[in-house]
Amino acid sequence: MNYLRISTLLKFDLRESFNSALWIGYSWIYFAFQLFVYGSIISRLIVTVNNYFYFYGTGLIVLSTFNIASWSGRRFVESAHEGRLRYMLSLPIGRGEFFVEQLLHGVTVNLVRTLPPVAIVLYLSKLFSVSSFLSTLLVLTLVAIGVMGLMISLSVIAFKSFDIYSAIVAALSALLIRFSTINYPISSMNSIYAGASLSNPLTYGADLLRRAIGLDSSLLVNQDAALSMLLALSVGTLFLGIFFISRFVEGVKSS
Amino acid sequence: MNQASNLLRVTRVDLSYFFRTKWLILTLITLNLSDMLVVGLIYSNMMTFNYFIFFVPGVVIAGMFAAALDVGRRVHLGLSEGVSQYYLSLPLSVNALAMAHILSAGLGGLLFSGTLLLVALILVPKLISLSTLLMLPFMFLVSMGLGGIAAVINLFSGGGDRFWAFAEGIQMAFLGLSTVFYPPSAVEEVLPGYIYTLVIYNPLSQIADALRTSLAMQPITVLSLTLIAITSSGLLALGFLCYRHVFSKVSVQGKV
Repeated sequence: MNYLRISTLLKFDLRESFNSALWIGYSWIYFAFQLFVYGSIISRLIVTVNNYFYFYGTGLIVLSTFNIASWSGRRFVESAHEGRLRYMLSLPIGRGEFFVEQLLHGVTVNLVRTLPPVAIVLYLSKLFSVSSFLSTLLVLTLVAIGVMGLMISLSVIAFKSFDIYSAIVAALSALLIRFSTINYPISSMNSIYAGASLSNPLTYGADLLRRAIGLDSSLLVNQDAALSMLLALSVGTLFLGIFFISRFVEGVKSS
Repeated sequence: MNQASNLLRVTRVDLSYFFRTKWLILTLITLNLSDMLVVGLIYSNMMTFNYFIFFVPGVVIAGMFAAALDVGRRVHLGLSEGVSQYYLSLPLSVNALAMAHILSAGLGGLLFSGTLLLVALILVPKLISLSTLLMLPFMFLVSMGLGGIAAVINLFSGGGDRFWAFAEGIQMAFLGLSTVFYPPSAVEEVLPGYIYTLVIYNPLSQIADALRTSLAMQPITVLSLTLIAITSSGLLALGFLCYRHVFSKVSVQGKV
């Protein structure tokens, strides 16, 4: 693993990603609007969860991470579509190193974009501490790696058809978000939905984040199970991504 | 006569692009059905009232909004890929082209939300009423008005990536500041009075609340229908003027 090559490419990619202040500003405004308008109003109607406002806020942070990680995967596919990937592959960088660079890029973008939302939720809930802040960032990084690995692995489909890839990713994203504890605790679901939710890594990511922040843990899934699941997802999709990139990415052109 | 038939042809072609974009249709259907059957049911377990029957008409309207607003995406792509420039080379006036897109937004919104409404009628049979049937022409009108919002986005985003940020932001603001997902009383408790007034006059709130009147076994008032017609027509006129401005600029300069 050549770290100099990785950091050079990473710097190039990050410069491009942070070029547009509009998108970064927009993601913060989106978070603030969703939390202070939708979150405030809907939390007036919820009676089964104490402080649903913060429960919703943490779910929204996981949702932001999921969206940014999905965007990273989509960006990879679009770079194949636009011919940029071919150029990247012609650079003197190993396929594994290239994949790691893509992951680091996604994680960095995610951290920059989720830092203000995390700070807002920690500040408002009066649960800010160095340990809660660091463990929150660690959980978000694990979620981002897991989702990005999954999305980059799915990009193999895009090399056959971009439309089918977009359809699968969009439908999968919608279902993963809804059948998870991002917006509601598992105790509010019927047994079928709860079963689906328990097999969804986002459930563990969202509940682990709530524990890291220090919210009421009575409605959350088991901490050890959550940590194991999240680690398994991150490591699993990491290797899956490296496998796909090294086997299928050569000479591809998204159609 | 020739203008009218060309207008209808462009409307048909534009509309067919919406239903031809498979990933978009699948996304919208998955989102809306999972909202109804998952989010609505789970939130119902967390509230003191039957949120599900309140939420289902809201999802129909949210789907209508997304489908109508998609005309903006098509115009945006059309402008960057030269399709709009091609339309302007046809025997079609700028006014007719602007109207064709607005009409296409109305039809797209009506067809998509009509499908969702059929699902809603199965899930919430209380919605089956004359009032719901009466809502269809108004859903068409509101969709055309929402197509007008897409035109405003096209005009002010100035093309490029900014269009997507503007479109998402407008969609979030219109849905968030409406009674599509929550009752007016909850909005009144949280938001200041002047914003609450905006929420009430939002055409999405008006059509969603009108659709819900059949749930309460109440007749729709003439006043509420008039309000829907006025606010939607206002948006439609604004959208028409925006598209007219965009296409006039394209016909002279070749680009926005």
